[in-house]
Order: sequence, then structure tokens, then C-alpha cells
Amino acid sequence: MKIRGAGRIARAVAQGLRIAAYNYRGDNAEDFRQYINGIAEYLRSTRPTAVSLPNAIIFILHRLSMALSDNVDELKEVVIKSANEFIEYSKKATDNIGVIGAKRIEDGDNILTHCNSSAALSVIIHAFKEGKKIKVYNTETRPKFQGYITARKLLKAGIKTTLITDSAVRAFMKKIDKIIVGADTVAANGAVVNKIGTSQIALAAKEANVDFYVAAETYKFSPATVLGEYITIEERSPKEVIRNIEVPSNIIIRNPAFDVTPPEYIDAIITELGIIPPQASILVLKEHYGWAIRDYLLKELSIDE
Amino acid sequence: MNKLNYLKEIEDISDKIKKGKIFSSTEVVINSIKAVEKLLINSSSIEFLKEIYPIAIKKLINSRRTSALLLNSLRQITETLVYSIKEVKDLEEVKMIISDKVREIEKNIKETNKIVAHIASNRILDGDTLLVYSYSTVLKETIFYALSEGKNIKIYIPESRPGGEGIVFAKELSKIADVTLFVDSAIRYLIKDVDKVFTSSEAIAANGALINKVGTSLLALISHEARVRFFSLAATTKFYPETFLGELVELNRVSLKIEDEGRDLVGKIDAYSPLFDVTPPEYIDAIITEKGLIAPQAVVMIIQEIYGWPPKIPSLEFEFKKLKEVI
Repeated sequence: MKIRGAGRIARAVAQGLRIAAYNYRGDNAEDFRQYINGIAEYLRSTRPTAVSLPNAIIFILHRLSMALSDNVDELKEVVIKSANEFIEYSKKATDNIGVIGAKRIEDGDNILTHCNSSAALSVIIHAFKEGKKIKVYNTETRPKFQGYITARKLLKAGIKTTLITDSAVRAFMKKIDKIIVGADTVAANGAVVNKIGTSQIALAAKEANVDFYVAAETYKFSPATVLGEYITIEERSPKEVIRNIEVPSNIIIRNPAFDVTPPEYIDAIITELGIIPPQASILVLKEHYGWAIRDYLLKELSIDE
Repeated sequence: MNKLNYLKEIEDISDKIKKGKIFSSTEVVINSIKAVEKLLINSSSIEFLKEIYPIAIKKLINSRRTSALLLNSLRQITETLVYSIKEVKDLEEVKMIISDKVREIEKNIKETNKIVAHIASNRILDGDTLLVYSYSTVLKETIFYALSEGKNIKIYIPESRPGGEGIVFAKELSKIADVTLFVDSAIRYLIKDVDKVFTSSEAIAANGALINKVGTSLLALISHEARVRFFSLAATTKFYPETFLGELVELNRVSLKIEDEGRDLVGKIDAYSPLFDVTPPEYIDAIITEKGLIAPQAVVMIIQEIYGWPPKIPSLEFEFKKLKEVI
């Protein structure tokens, strides 16, 4: 958990593959392909929930499998180039989301955000830079207090922020005009997997008729869910919940890291390609990962080409 | 002793209440009435009370505007004080009458809580997983009764920020029950495992709205969405008759303690939380009182039973005026 945020994880993985390719010493193309696949498998196992990670891998491996050369240096170049391409794209995507999402923010808006999301912050900071007077409320985000990171970034950007407890979200809802959160994963039906607590904020927003937006780069959309894959929610260490407080050992501590927000509570997903209703996620998936979905199908269902 | 010293103890308790340091709403009241009793016992003359008594009472009430039980109990003591000064005149005797009254109120609170807990425990079935919120002595009793009736139950508790009452409650309940603790954000994720939700109450407004620890209204909304039954335990002394006359209940607000990871943010950002929030009656399946289980919409009926129709609510200011007259 040293690298936080789906975007940063994806870029780190791309970088990992780039370094692996660069450091490869050998001259057999088949060995190189196996070596890269092995590294990819290892990297894939490090974080089960973040879909940006396998998507970064798919992006690079797909290009490698399409390269017909049996020259190791050429194949190395393919991996390094596609890793760079991915890193560039993902950096630009977050910025584009800011440009697009800022249009949704009005002068004088009170905005609520949860956890720490680069994409959501990009929207808020863009709107602020356009001269819109905005005020931000952000949740502490227990158990790990990522709200502090968000508050720090907003403070640096010169935006006034108020830190509130996760439990006070409904009590504060009357003051809020819009909610923007990030996403860990967007599923094929438009459901959004994000930091624990997101789904109850969305529920409280729906009740109060407050707009609820998710800011998510397209590499957070999960091709595997098209094939019905169930997203497993990680449960993390009890230590995060109780910190340094002594509690009797017979108390069971649950610490789910994410929850699922149903699409009907989401007004729109802001992507670098534009703003879409969550139900249209399948469009993004088909357009962006049509080939990946096909790859998955072939692999998962062991269908011979 | 000068006036300031007399008020010192009242001020200390008010401060603790204001900051949410005393978790249980019943404990808030018992601590307060005992402090008032002590103030009276230490008084050297009846004249002395003329000024200092109303100051002390107002301080306590203002420390927790939401607590109907506190207001109701202090009103009872004030009425008794006015009556006893008028009738007996001897300070020592007045002191005795007040001490008896304080004992009586305390006993009543505990007895009614027992009845509420018994009725609530009837709602619990063998094999139930219950989600309980914040810290509550009457909820603890409810769970104790259910367990002693041989019901096999599991308890789910969110930590309840900013006070962390849930952690303290989890520790206490773990001595008698099977307890699961989690952060407030995980309520919607875990509600699927829960059969019933029980909360205590700070006060119940005339329309049946529940005032309770912050987070309760979010919990009620989540339960409603998941069709999980939501019960609130409230002796009728927690009914807030003033709200019938349209008075808005003021909610205490506390500043948030920023943990070590955010030390650099202290003083640079606003960080606060209300101590309570308001749950609308439509999310409450039933309020469990010592008179039985009622729909929140029937609260007004009980208010009518206690205070008449239209309800005659004796104002404390009026009692203070009377106090000055008799002294």
C-alpha cells in the first residue's frame, strides 16, 4: 500500500514492465515473451481490486502479442514504447477529466468529496482555476484518514475546505450542491467500486437530490466484468480500524476497503472522453477494450481461435 | 465560599456534557441532577439561591439543548424547590425534600429504562444479528435480557466518530456477547448481515423525529434502503414537548481532533462535526417506550396524555420567576 490511487498504481505497473524489458539479457524472443508474461502475472497479483492494474498490463501485453517480430531488441522496444504511451495517456487523462468535469461546477458551489482521488481533485481544482468560487467539504475517510491528503492538496491549491466525519455526511447534505468522488473500478453495468463509504454517501445524495458524480479514467473500467466476473472486496488489517487502542481479542473487526455504488445513484461518470451516464459504461468498454474482452474470452473460456 | 466556587462543579459538568465526554444520555442527566443537589446542599441560605440557582440550571440545560430528559428532570427539581420553599421555609428541610426528589428521579429513570429494555428484548429473536449505534445503558440492558432469555445473538457496532462511543460500547459488550466492530463508512456494506437495528435516543420530537448521536440518520436511511427494521429506545421522559410548540432543537457541535498523520493541517482547515443529527419519522419502524411500542407518528398522542391537550408545558423561566417570589 505504498503506492496509492488507481492511476498511480497503473503507471507504476507500466513502469515496472518497462524496467523489466529494459533489463532483459537474452536473445530468444519466445523466452522474452514468457519472461514479460511472468512479470505481468506477478504484478497483477499485488492488488486484487484495482482494475487499472490489469488494464495497464493488458494495454502493453496486447501490443506485445500483436508484434510479430522474433527480434528481442524489437520486442523490448515494443514494451518500452507501449509502457511510455500508457503512462503519457493516463497522465493526460486525469487532466482532461478536470477540463471536462469543471464545466459541471457552478460558481458558488459547495462540493463534497470522499477519500483522496486525483481525478476528482482535478475537476475541483480546474473549476477553481477558472475563477469559480467554490467551497469543499471532505470526509476524514476512516480508517486511514485519506481525507487529510485531500485537505492538504486543496489547501495547496488555495481552496477552502472543511473536514467532516464520515458519520456526518447525511447531516451535512443540505449544505452540499454537488458530490465528486473517484473510482477504483467501474463495472460493465456502471456500478462503481470505490473507497468504503462511497455507496452510503451516494445514497444520502440521492435522498437529498444532490448531484453525484464519479470521475474515472477509462482505464478504470473493467473488461472482465463484461464476462460476469464478480469484483471481490478486499478486507484489510483490523489494526487500521483500532489503531493503538487496546481491545479485547474476542471482538471481531471487519475492515472492508471498498464498497459498490449502484448505477442508479450515480448521475454521471466523468471520463477523459466525455461525460457518460453510468449505464453507458459498456460503450466505453466495447470501444476501448473490445479486443481485451475478446482476449479474456479466449483465455478464460479456453476457446481455441 | 464565593459564588464562583459554587458554580465550579456545575461548570465542569456542563463542559464535559458539551464536548460529548459523557457518552450515555442517562448518565448526563444523573450527573447533572446530582450536581444540582450538591449545589443546594452547600447553600448557606435560601436568599443565596435566588440568583445562583437559575444560573446553574440554565448552564446545564444549555450544555445539552437536545436532551429532553435533562430539561424534564431539571424542571421537576425546580418545581419541587419552589413548592418546598413556599411550604416549609426551613432550609434544612428544603434540602431534604430536594435530595429525596433527586433520588426519586434517578430511581424512576432506572426503572423506566428497565421496562423499556424488557419490551425491546421481546423484539429480539433467537439467531438475530443486531446493529447497535453509539453507547447506551438501556441498549446494554436490552442485550443483557435477550441473552439471559437464552437467545443466541450477534452484535454489530460501528465505531461512531467523532466520539468513538462505539468502540467503548464494543469493549463493554464483548464481556457478554459476540461483537463485531467496524468503521461508520462500512455500515451500508455490512447491513446485509443485519436483521434489526437498535439505537437509543437523545430526544424524540413531537412529529416522531429522533434526535440521536450523529450518524444515526445515515444509519436509518441505510436500514430503510435495505428494508432492515429500525427501532429506537426512548422512555417517554425523552419526548420533547416544546417541539410541539414549534421550538427548534439546537444541536451541539464539536471540533474534530486531527490525528497525527494530519498534524500539519491543524489550524489551517475547518474540522468539525455536529454531535447529533435528526432522523425523520418515516425511517423509524417503532419507538420503544415504557408504555409500549409505538409508531413515531403516535408520539403526539403520548405528549397529549402527559401534558394535556393542547399541551400545557410549564416554562422554566416561569418557575424561576415563582422562585424569586417565594424567596
